[in-house]
Amino acid sequence: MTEYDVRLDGVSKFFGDVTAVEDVSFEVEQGKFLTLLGPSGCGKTTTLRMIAGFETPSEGDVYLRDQRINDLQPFERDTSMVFQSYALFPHMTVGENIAFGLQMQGIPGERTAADGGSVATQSSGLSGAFKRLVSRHGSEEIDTRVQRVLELVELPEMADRQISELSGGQQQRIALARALVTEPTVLLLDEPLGALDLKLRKNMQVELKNLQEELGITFVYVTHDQEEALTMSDEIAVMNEGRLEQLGTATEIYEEPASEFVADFIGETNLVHGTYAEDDDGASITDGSLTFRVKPHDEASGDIAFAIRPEKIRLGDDARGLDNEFSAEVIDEIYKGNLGKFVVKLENGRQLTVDLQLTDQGDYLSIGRDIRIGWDASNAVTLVR
Amino acid sequence: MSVSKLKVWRSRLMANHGKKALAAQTGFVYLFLYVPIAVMIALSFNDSRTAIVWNGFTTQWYEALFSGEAIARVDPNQAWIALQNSLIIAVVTVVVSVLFGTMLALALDRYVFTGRNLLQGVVYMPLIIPSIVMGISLLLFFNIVGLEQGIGTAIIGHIAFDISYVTVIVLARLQSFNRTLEEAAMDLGASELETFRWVTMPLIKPGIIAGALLGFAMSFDDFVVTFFIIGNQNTLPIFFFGMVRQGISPGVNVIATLILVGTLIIIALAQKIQGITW
Repeated sequence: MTEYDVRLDGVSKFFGDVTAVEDVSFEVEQGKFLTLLGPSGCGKTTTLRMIAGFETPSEGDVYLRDQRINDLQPFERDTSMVFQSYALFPHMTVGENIAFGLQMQGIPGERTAADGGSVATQSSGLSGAFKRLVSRHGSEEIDTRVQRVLELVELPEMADRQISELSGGQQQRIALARALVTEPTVLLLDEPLGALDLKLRKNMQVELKNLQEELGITFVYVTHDQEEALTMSDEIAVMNEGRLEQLGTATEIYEEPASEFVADFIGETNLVHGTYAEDDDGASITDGSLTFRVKPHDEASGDIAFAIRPEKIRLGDDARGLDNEFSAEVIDEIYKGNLGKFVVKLENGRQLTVDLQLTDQGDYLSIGRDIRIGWDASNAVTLVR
Repeated sequence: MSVSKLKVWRSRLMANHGKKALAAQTGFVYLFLYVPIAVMIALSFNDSRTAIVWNGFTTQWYEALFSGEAIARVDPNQAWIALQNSLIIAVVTVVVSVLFGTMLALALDRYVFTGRNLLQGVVYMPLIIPSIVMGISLLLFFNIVGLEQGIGTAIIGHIAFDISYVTVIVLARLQSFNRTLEEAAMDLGASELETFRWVTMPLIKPGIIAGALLGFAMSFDDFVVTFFIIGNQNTLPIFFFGMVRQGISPGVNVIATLILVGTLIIIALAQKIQGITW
């Protein structure tokens, strides 16, 4: 049986009249990397904060393993968060920052084997609680675990440094170390790479993914960067305006978008609206004078759209014999790195973006030229939403 | 003279004399601030009973004070009692004000509740109302309530304005405080109380100490409000006032100089404590 570390069941969050999250349900399998992806204001961070306990759901339930945790305080939940701003304590050294979580959970001594596996690791007992208000104890156990996690993030010599002495990238790693040292059931990451420069961000994406696989901890990751999501995630939950648009693997999301929003948000795409019809050969969408062969969809009818990726459109001789074959006029040219991008206009006035590798076809295309374009019906995804 | 010539002339003037002018101006400001204090300290060593004219160096006024003799109408025992009263009032006032002022600042910073804006505005009132109004209103209040005037009423009166100073300073510190740090602490397993103890308090500590120091100075210094509500007791400012009305005596200079030294020691200590984590 599959075990789920996190489960959201019909969760909504209202702030006054504003709906931040609306009826969101998903499950994260143990040891998986789930990314909540969406534009700013789509509710992804609010969703993450409800798992962490900083917000309480207005409706629905949040489960950690099998426990309903709606009413648990953040300090009673076995989740750790890596904040966008890192939120490292400026008045503590690196080592003290990392040790803090262990000290507050009453390690060592108070955590017994019996509750070692439970969701709530907050140690109870009045004397322990009082002690933690008077002083924060160090111990060999804590030192060992701090050192171990520092080595994990490849900053083994940093324990005695002040936070202000660290670079942005180092702070990011220390924030990660501090969240990991308590060995949480789920690690929550709120755009943790947002403040890093592009190169460092790329490196960290790979490292984070490797770390996650190595530790086998469930990650719930929030980002607005689709490339980051596609690179790192086992599963992606695309959110928009508080709702969950689609949940699936990177390939599913990219190849089989479930809605116009997903098709448009992930990568680049051409959306074509028209009237849907089914026949013996499959399905088609008619836009004015042109009829496009598309992939059939069970729920499709009436005025809907299909999506065709620019790289799925073939040109010239390559286009011959495909399900869709049209003549078009090149009207614009966009360069983007090694990729040539062109805008073409179909007979009915519809404009499409197409990709080609410059290496292949050099100056094959120029503005004003008439060319043939085409694509397979299986690449034209019918969108019912 | 054309504008460009004027500019050239000005930049040349700045280049040649700018630094000197700035140094001179700074010097004057400091003279203005510190000459009166220097004169007071010097006159505490002046070998003259009344005159404000330099008559030669002596430490006799200090010796007299420490041996408990009255010097030029200044009775050291009365001065001592006045100092004790001032200290008792200031210490109790600061302790209570820091406690309640910090709590009030936290409430105003953290919670949205009906009347918060009103409350926030009212906090500043004691800083704005003239002391004399404050003194009269407190006197009226104590009379109506039937409290006998003395050290107790003075403490209540001082707390009434000191809380404002502490609140305003701690509030300023809290407003630059990054609340995410508290979320991080709770996320790591610290309860609300533990979070306050290990994260919030250490980070707003400079504000609390600054508030306490200012509150102490305000209480220790206060003449007007105290004069109305302390009955027949003396604090140091009131004692001095009584002395100075009959002419400036070396005894007043000596005690004022000693208070200055004491203040400097307190500030030095406070700065040392600032560095230590509670």
